[in-house]
Amino acid sequence: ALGSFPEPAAIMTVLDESTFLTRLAGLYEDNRSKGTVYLQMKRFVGRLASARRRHPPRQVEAAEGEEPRCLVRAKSNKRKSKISTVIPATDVVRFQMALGSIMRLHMDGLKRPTKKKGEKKQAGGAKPVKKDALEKGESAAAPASDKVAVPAASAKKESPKKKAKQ
Amino acid sequence: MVYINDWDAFFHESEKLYLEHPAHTRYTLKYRHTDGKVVLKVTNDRVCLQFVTDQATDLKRIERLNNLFFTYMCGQDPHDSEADAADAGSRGDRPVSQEESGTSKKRRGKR
Repeated sequence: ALGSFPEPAAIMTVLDESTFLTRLAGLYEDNRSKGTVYLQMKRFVGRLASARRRHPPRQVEAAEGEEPRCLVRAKSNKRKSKISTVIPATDVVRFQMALGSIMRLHMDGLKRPTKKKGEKKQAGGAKPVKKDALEKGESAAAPASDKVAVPAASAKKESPKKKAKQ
Repeated sequence: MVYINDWDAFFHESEKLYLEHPAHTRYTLKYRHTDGKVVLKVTNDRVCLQFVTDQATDLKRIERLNNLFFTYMCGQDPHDSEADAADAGSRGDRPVSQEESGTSKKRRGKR
């Protein structure tokens, strides 16, 4: 219809823990060559407490009997990418570990302290096949600093594997 | 917003901020693979603490901070947990001294 606005991208999909983690990994993958991933955590003690956020004493009252949980949200800059989940205290440790492994696996575009050019060359030579796809994604961004990051990234990919083995 | 340069300062300040305002403080991570940067933000909508890094060595520290916040947000005190040698089962019994409404959590933790 004329004048109909596109559906607002304000819909938040609430998921269970494992689906959330899978979708989060997907978010990181989708935003490798372009985009940002935002991950956010906040305490959650029930919707009544959230509704009373403007009135602190009543909020505390509403939060009295509630078990504190952790609300985790993730989004990217793209539309319809908002996901969230609520983690109860019993599942926190497991979720922490899973989240840690996802972060280590995907947040690998960070710089490693490379000292010599020789180190870079060695790291560059040791690329296994699947990194070629990654390299294309990374070199597409192509500022000068990426040249340092790119061979360093291949060294990084190996150490999460080592960590996983350990 | 001004960024805090020192990790330890950021860590302690954000912990303090959370302890003062557990209901209002949120912790955000922004990751851009194209820039190779992570921005951490801890805010209670009045005070905002931010930390930027592009170093892979900081990932472990970030994980530690994540774990800290998770533990606090679910009603446990991470320092007490360390003292108790991190037993997995007895979460409900642990004395949660620093959390608000901590005493009622002791009983509610068990379901």
